[in-house]
Amino acid sequence: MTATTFQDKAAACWSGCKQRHAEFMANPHLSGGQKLAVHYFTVAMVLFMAQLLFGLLAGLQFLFPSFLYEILDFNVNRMVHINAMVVWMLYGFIGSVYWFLEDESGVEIVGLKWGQLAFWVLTGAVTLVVLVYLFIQFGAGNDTSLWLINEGREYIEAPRWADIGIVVVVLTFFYNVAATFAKGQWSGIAGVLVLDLVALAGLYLAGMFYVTNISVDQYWWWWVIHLWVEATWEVLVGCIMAWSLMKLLGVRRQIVQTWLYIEVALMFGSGILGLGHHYFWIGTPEYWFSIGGFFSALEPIPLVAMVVHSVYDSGVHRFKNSNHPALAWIIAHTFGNFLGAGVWGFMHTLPQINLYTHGTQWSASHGHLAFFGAYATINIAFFYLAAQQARGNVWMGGDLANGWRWKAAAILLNLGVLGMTVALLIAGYEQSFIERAVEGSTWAGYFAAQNHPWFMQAMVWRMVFGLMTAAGGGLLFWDLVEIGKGEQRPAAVIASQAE
Amino acid sequence: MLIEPVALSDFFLSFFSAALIILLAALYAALFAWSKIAGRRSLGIAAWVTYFALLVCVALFSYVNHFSGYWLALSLLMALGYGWMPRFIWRLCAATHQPDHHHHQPGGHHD
Repeated sequence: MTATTFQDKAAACWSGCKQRHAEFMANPHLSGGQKLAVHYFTVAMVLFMAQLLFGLLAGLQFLFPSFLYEILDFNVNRMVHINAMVVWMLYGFIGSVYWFLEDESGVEIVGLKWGQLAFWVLTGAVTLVVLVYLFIQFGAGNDTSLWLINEGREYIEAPRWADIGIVVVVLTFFYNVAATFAKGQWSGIAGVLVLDLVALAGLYLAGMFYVTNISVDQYWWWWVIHLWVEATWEVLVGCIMAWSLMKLLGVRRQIVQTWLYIEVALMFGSGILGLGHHYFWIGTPEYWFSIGGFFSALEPIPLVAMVVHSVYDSGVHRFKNSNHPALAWIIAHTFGNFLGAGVWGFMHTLPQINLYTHGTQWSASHGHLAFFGAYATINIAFFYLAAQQARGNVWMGGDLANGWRWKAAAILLNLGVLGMTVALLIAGYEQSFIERAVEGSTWAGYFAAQNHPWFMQAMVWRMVFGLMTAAGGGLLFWDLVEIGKGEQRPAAVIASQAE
Repeated sequence: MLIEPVALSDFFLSFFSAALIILLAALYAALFAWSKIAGRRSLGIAAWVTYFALLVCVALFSYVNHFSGYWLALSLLMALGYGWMPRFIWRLCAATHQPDHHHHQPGGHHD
């Protein structure tokens, strides 16, 4: 292809994108906030695909260690895989809040232009950070690299300039939310959400300063990793879920708000000090054994409580709704959260056993199912709610044209992640046993565990289920672009539930 | 040292009993709630049998994890908490789902 031809094609592509964007912005079915939300959802899906791609590459490197060696090393693939996951979750959450903000407050979003600007700034920054990750993989670590290339902290490797940008974007998001609720109607959901966003921005600061003592550094680092995930994200998802249940199933506000308050209370009672299970082996005092063990053991209680409520609701009410894909993903959310966070978490959370499992593939097994079950599922459910509204609030229930697509995507994604989880569990069990317990965490033990047939077979199965997950992800992307197109039947109005 | 790690020979028992505690707690909660809705005595008995199995798992888990001293409070908390929690949640469900004749629209009123 000549340079001129390439330029022509690129110009045509850019022109096509601009035209489609202009058409989208003229969509009469969506409010300003919802259009901004769809922007966030679109980037979230692109990042989800990136997460799957880099996860597959990292998985392949377990099977073929020389694959892409010194071109795209395992540490880079793993970093992009996890960073993409963290960021697409955030994009999904932020988009979901923008989606329901006007509906919940009863007024147009205050400072929407700032929100739109923040979206483009964040997306540009994410793109730049990933490109830097890929193009500058090696080099000395110093103050310059910390500010411009890579901060070096696992999971939050973004350089300092991007850290500051993230906080500014979250504060802009906070301004949009708080100012809109202040101008419009206040609600229980609004109160919890606004306070949670303060914590979301504030806690990130704990990962932005550097100390020379590795134990102290890790101590603060976990504030971001654990408290973001098991405190602020949980509450954020609770707010999103509360609004979704009102819209999807017609649940009364009084009910969802009461349960939202209970969730916040349980989070304060268990999730915050559950942080202690990360402090077992980083050089912190021994009292963290008791605090971490005790409060981590309390963390599954909300999940068991959820079972009672689910049975109560299904026994007393019927799950009548006009968006079957969204409800299916909310059901997947309950099971995934229960198994991934509850069962897989409690199996290895106490220090008596965590001594052997910490940092093995067991953690990866727990992480895969817990993140997928607790967060990916609820984001996907929300994407389907958005798709329905964007197509003119059409029927998206049974006998939907090409309904096989969302069902196949859901089956492939759920089975794929569950399969990866079990495969990693086997690998982690073998590592805990051989590397940690038998060989006493020596280098020889590490390599003995890595080369053990159980570990290697588990990695093959992880790859098989990883491919299944990727196929499901691709199908999901396709379905979200196409679902509801050409559908003429309006969505049934969900009446308030009959008691 | 404040803890005595699980013995190599008890690895499986530790993982398995921990998983069963959560799964049986959920099963007990589901059976308890179902028995309330259906009003069937057999489901109530099944719930109690499940709870008994849960207690066995808590005891086994406490044993293989060498719980002693204040760690036994955790065993007690699990045994009592998972038994009491479904009843508490059921009461909350019944209370929060009381019909509200003033507000019939989905989403209802704002505070």
